[in-house]
Amino acid sequence: MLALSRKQGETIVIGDDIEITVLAINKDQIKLGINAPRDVSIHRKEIYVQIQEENKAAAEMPNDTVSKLKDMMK
Amino acid sequence: MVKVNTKHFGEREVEESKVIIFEEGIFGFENQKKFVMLFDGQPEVSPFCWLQSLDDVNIALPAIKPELYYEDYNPEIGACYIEKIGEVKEEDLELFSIVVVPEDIKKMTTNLKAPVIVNIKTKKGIQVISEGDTYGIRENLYEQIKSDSEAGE
Repeated sequence: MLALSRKQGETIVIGDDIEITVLAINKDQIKLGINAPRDVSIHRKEIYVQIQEENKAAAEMPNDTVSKLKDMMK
Repeated sequence: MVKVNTKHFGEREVEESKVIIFEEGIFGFENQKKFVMLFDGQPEVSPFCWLQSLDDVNIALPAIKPELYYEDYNPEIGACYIEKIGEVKEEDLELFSIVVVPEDIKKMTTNLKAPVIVNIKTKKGIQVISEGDTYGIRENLYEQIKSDSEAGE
């Protein structure tokens, strides 16, 4: 992983059209400003990972789930 | 018609026009590009449908139409994501939310944060992450269904 040191107000550029600026630094938290094309999706990684895991959990259901759901709706 | 091997319903015949292309896959299954939405019986009997992969028979995710149980469901989704699957016209778009059914069915949840959107005109689909904190990844669905059916009686 590339590590760069940046101060508040400084920016890094990724490729031609993505800019990330350090807006504020507070003890153990930093605030980032991101400029990117509209079709680039930007998410907090933990949310992204949770959603991946949630889909996997949905797909890993036992075979009797179909009948369980049917019983539930009776 | 195309023959589809399904995880839960054996071999099913599905109209070719029902095949949905997910160019980016869905989260966690980025390599699965073709799905069909299978319904188990009539929608009025069961609200559950199944997003079945055509690439891998073992991948089938239960889903619901969230508006059935969350009347005011209105996730904020960037138009740029919806544009990836066609024109942004409300009447062409169908929304689904993925359901997780654990061993204890009362703990069943649905992911309102990241709905699956299908454009019925272009037959393309995408799963997106909605903005803000209005909707959670694990919203309790069991309670919602039960309270809804009690209210309907």
